[in-house]
Amino acid sequence: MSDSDSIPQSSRASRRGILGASLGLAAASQSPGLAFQGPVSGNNPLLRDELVMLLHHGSQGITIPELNRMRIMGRDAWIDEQLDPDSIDDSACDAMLQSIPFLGMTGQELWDNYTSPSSGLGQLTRGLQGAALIRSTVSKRQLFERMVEFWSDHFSVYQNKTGKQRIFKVLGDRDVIRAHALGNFRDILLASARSASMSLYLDNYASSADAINENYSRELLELHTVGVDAPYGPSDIVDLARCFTGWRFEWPGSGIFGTFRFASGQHDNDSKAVMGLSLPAGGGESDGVAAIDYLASHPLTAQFVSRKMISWLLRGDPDQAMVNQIANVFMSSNGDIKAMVRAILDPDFILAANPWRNPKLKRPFHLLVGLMRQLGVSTIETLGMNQALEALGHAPYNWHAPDGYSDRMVDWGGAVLNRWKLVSVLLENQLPGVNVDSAMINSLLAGVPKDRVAGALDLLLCGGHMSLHDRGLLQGHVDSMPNWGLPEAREAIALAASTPSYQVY
Amino acid sequence: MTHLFNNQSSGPVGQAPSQSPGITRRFLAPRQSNQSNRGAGTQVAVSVNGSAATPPGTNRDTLISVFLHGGMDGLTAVVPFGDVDPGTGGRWLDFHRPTLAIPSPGQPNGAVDLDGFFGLAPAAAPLATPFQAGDLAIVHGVGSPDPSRSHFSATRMIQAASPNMPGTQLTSGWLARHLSTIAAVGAGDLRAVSQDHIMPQILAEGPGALAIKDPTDFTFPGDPATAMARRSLIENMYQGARAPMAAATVSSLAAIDLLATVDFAGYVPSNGAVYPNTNFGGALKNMAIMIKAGMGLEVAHVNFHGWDHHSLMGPLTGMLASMLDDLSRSMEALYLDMLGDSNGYTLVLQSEFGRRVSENGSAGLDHGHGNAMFVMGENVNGGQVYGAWPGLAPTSLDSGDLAVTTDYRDVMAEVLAVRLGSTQLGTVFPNFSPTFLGLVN
Repeated sequence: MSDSDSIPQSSRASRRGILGASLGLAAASQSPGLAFQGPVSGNNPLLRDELVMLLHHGSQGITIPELNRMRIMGRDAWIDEQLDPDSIDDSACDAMLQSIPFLGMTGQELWDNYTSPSSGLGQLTRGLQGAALIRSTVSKRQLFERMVEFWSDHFSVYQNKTGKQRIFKVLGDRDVIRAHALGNFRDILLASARSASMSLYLDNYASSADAINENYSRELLELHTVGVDAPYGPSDIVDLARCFTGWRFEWPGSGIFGTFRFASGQHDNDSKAVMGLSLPAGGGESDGVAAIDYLASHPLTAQFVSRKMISWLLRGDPDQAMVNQIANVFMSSNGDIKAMVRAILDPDFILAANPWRNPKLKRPFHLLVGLMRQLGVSTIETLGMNQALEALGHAPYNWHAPDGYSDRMVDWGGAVLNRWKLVSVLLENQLPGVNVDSAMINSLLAGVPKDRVAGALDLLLCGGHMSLHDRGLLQGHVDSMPNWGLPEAREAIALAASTPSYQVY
Repeated sequence: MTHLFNNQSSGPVGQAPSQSPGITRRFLAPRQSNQSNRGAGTQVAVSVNGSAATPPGTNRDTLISVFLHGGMDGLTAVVPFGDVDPGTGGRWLDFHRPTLAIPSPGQPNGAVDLDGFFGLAPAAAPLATPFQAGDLAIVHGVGSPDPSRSHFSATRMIQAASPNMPGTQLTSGWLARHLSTIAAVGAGDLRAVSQDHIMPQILAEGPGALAIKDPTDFTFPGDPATAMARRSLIENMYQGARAPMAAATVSSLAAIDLLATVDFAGYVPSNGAVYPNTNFGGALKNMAIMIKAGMGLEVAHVNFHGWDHHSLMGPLTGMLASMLDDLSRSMEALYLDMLGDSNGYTLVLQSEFGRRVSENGSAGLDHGHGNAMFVMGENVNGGQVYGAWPGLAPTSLDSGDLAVTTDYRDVMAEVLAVRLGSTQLGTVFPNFSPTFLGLVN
């Protein structure tokens, strides 16, 4: 906490006048933070709103610079760029990730370097959570990170199940989720099935011909592919589990810890029948691959994954026509994730989904990361962020069950006090490792007359979508402040981020 | 041991809901037991047609609802060691579970005998304290009629209480509907607390229901000098906000004031009770503190995660044993702490389903069906295991699982009617006519 205005209360009051003057002085100069570049998309306000909505949903929250960049380059070019993340220079983010030395290690290297008492597995847990926070906050590949978060929940793995799980989660995050987040659904499904991360988490490594374990098989159907309402029964679950008997991973003594291994001696080689898929005896390792291929191209998988992806990217509880439209893209493109994302973020699709009327609630991770992006925080230590999210029940990879963190307003929406606390702590510069300094506050509100603060914060935080109700009350509160200086500016921003309008997107 | 038949003369205990005229109390299961006080395997049914003995108004109990997520193995927690194969004389449990069965009482690592037929896992031994005092009742072979072995479907349907209504979607929870159909005990802004980060289905849409992970730190943020003005602003802003934010704001602001009067840090449990220093122990302790504070809390819900033991289950020394130890020591502490307190409570505990009767190849158990439930409190007719024992003979199983012979709603409905004053069981549990077992008085 290097910010000088986070010193004790007694001395803060005496500095108020000076800081207030600082805000006033800056009024004479142009404020880069709030300057809109004009309606590049023409004078159609609906279209302009649509860009705000696109950025709201295609990133971890709008920022004025990114909105201006999108206006200038155009929405289509922005989507093209974001769907080709390797084309985006992300050197600033990459530099910050250098503080996490293990992200590129093999399973064996992780085992060799992180299982000693002095360099323990807890470092992997915290480091991987930190990487998620850094990438979501700093990376320019925002749409990619949104999809990484989606698949991290879809193929949720609780990283603290065991010590080995902490190692495997590092591998799974890199080689399953991030490798395929904008790839092909069949590929990410197969990568998940073969990963030590999922195998250990859902016990498939322990399943064998003479004693199957149903855990992975059940969740593969219910959570990863066709969904719980699909017509499958106990025998389908058993036969699907038999397809994956012998799918295991290498142990540390092998020198290639955590890589896939097919143990043919443990495989059930009899014939199998799974939801209309018949496999003759003797299939060996190909049984599991055939099951993945079958499930990855099943129309019910298209429905299930499409509904979930629309719910994630655009609007909870989409109607059936919307689901059918994206499911058709899934089927016709053989599970091309980029094609699905592009279809969901199509302007006509956004207009039809009407997220203005059907908003989603920001989950705590989104609330924190999005606000940090808007404040312009660029240097962070993630431990404090992670602890703050733990207090709200939303630290990365900490959900126990295989269904992933909820994305529903009804589940998260009641914990309002925790949300007000989170933004208050952040704006008071009390979140360890995150520096919201005076210069930052000054640059955000410099040049804004006191009687127009709410409008400025509406643009800055909500892209102009704050309700009149919230904006009016916020401005009334600012009007009633006896002083207008940095402490008041911090309070006003925290309150703007505490409005009902700001909780949704 | 227990007052098995004395309950018949203890007077009417329940108010019959209008939908179900024939409320009966079932005491005992027909089963292979040589216990002389078991009524020789006959089912004893007593009509309860009298007027309600429901405690009126503020004398209503607080319901402590505990949900074990993942599928707690009720055949380890409450071991049916007396269920034997008449052909071989061997225990069915050993037939199904060569490595995971808890031995019988008297053997090394043996169960703690409850009634000559059932016993507690050694790790759950602390539960013998309330059981032997007659304040803990166990129901076995209980569950949902819905056949789902999916964690998420089973949990949703149990907590929404819509297990026999395929195609219908009840979005509210059954405890929420209870709150909606009865007058608040207190001011009404904070009627139910779930100690978790997100609202569980069981309390979804419940008036005055709030998810509070840490009630010891539930304070309004920021500079105290400006807190009043900011709080007032936020209160105004959230009027008319989207559900559930608007109602949660009203409840949260009330909870800030209510909890500010509660001394969590200086709390000394009564009767020498010692809560384990665990998440669950801490949660039960906080609930006891809030109940004793008399703030009008009607429902306290606690989630306990991590019971999905597909591999390396460890019923005696491993994962399951340590979780049962945590669970039972926490419940024993709550029992002792609340003993004799004028603020009444009844605790009910369940899981979304039991686990498979036969062990799998990885020293674990896959998803099953029937399970055990616990009901604890000073008005519980405890010291007994209730329910018609379905049996572990292979022909008695339901797709390899313990069959469900008692609907969990029978248990919940009786507690609501008798201890929480509900007269609206038809709304709380739609399309269901409960049968009371005589669990509470």
